[in-house]
Amino acid sequence: MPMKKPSRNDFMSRIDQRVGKSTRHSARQMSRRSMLTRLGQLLVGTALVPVLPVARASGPVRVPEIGDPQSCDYWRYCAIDGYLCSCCGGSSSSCPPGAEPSPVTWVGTCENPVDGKRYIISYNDCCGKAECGKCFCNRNEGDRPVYYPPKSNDINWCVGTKSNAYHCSTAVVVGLDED
Amino acid sequence: MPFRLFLFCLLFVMHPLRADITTETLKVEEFNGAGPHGILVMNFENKAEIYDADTGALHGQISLGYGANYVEIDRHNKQFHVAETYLSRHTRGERTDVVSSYSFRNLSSEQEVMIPAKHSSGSPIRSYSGISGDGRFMLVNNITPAMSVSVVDLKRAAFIGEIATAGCGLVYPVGKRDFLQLCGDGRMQLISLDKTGKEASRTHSEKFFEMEQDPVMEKAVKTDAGWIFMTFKGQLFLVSASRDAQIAIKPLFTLDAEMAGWRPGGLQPIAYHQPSHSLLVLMHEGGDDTHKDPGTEVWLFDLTSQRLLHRQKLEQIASAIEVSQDENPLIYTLFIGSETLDIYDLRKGRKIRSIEGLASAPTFVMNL
Repeated sequence: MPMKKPSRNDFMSRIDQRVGKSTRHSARQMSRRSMLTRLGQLLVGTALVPVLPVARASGPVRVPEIGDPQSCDYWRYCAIDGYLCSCCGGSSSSCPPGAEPSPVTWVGTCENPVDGKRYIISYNDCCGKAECGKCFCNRNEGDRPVYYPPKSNDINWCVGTKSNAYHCSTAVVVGLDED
Repeated sequence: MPFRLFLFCLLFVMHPLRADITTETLKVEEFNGAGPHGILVMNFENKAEIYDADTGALHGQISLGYGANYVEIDRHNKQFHVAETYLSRHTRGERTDVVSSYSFRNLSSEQEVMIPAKHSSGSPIRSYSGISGDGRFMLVNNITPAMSVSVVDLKRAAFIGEIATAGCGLVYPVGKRDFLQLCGDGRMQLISLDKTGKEASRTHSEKFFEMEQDPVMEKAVKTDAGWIFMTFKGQLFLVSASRDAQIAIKPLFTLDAEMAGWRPGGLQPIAYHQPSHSLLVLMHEGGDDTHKDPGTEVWLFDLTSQRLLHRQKLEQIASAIEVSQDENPLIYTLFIGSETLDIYDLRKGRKIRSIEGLASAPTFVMNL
């Protein structure tokens, strides 16, 4: 009898429904400047990271939006691994009430389907509460192994926080990839 | 007193009934192994469940702390060792990291050594910990994101120290007291310990892979000849260390050499069968960024001839694989999104049974 070949979407869907994750990334709803400062510390700390070509806008830039932030298909989630804070009382760029953002994080690069540009996404985690358990999502565009921390979505980024308990993950736009 | 009289009469009436049964005494079982195909299954619920793969019987559970990645099986001392985190108030409070040693006999903790409160956690990675070849030291990887390794003397139940590993991470034990690490610059690092567990020396290999183009996965297996690593695209490398602390890296073959378009993937995508010197890999059809996708088939490779011997289609996709180490091996597969473990007879080429009802989100399966 021919087997049903699971597609990648099947995999995502099944993972979404079933899988819990004990820990992952960390989060802080911080200013872009603060974010870049922290990122800079991370780069120095690991001595491994390529310099990221983050565009510094001279004024506020509105990122064109499309899609559902509670869906794993949302464009910013191209390299996320965790429960979506959008489903947990927060948003793609904010932690749920009382959750603690972590001061360090990792970054990915996702294409925005509206303008076709690639944006640098900071996958900050929110910490200090039990796992949210809602809307698990794992996509791995550009993900690298854990021994290369700045590009790995497998690491519990709830470090440098009062608690390393992982709650959920965000996807904060921190710049434009002009590479 | 009427009520006391009633109770007395009730006991008198019941007495003959009680005499007809053999009363029981509550006792506690001891763990005496789980048969020739005993397996240990880990999961995101911080439990390690022990099953007999021949009968499907659950023989017991080790209750683990937060962030427990992998249970190191110490057959010599009949203990399980694992790095864990405990928070004093469940999701808050003081953090304590320990290496706990659980007894084979009762699957309970019988030794605990405190380590720096920063052991790696997140998606489970088998090589976040390891035991030195002489069985003396437990090595625990830290990522803060600066990387280091905590060394614990299991014999003295003492924390020895922390070794900064600067750009390299994970633990792949070799020799008596050495361990290899993967580095973000495409090299490997070898750290040698002295008899006390302190760093004695470190060396690096030449660069042998490109992080951006085709990185080496963290998921590897140890063979008699050394560790076998694979890249995202399926290129295999055999990595070993000589007694004079030199790292040897030998390219082997590409997994999809005979069938293009297939890649390895999963949490535990590779297993080694020592008696036949063969390799089993979870494979799926896919391209870039599918390195964590589950396998739809198991591919069996003969490492001596470096040829693909067999493709086993899976009835359920799998994110983890292990193989029993006997002459007629069983393949164990599980998928993180299912509570079912499937057991295949490798020689018959078919599934022979399943174990249902695993704790949710199973991650690893290993031979006991």
